Amino acid sequence: MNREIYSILYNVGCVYKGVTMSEKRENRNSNSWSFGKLCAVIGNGSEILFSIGAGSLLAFYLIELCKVKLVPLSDEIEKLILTGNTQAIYMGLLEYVIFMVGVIAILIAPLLSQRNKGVGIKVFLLLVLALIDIGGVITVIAQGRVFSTFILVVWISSVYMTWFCIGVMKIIYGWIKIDKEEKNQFDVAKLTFIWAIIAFLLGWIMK
Amino acid sequence: MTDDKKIILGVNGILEFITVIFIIFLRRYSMELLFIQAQYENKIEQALNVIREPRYLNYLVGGLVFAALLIAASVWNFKKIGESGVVSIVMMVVNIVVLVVLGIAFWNPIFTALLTVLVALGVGYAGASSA
Repeated sequence: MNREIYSILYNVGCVYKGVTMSEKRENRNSNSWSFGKLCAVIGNGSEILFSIGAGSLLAFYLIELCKVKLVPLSDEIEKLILTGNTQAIYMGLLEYVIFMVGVIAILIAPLLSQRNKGVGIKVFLLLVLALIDIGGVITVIAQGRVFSTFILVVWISSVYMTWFCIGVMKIIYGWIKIDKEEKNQFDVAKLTFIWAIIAFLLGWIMK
Repeated sequence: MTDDKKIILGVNGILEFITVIFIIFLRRYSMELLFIQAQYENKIEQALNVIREPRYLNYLVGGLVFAALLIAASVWNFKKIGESGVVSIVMMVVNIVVLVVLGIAFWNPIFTALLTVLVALGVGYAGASSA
């Protein structure tokens, strides 16, 4: 299954990059499904297109989620204010602030391990978009409806977040290699560690 | 005047001009928000009813974008002080003044809280890059 998904992604990448059939055959003969090749195929232009595509899907999911989860919160908050139970609002907000800080910190951590010139701007932009998103979420909860500006904000930040995640994945890919020159030599302990994190996250999400 | 100084003057000048126009629009809108806030005593109620104003998110996004641009430009000027000298310092001070005016013009609980976080980020980044 993994292999099939990978193959689809690889072929989509080839279409974006304009890789010819003979080049594809050559790649297949050497080793058709290494992650390094996928990274090489999805270059800068394609990376942006891929980010727009995946980011748009993510934005669609998030907006639908907001309609289901956030809009009903408006009435609940109204009730809490009328009963004077404002402490519950503070506690709820605090939980979400901690969650947001955690997600952003996890995303930024691998990037800060590289001391490149552009890292600061990327991180600053991510944090600015996260702050705008927080403002948008608070507005949706208060107004009890999803509106066009919020959709636009979520879409832009989803696309950027996806592009950012691709960068983080590249850094993690570099980290799990034993020898930077060799393409297919990976540290098994690091791979197992990453699989454990993915399995934990999937289990947590599916629960 | 060197090319570096011309670029600094041009970029900062355009940014500050656009921000000032935005502040003029914002000031008129902010008066409506102040009127809404004056109707309630509870702070949470004030914040919620301000946010319920239909155009609020448009202005909030605009305000945060301009604030972020001003902070980024200030940090950039700060890093260029060694090369451009007085021009960078003057532009940085003007940016900070415009940022303060923006904060005062759009004074409401949500924007002020987010602006504080942005300023802290900018100061932190400037400090880290100079270390």
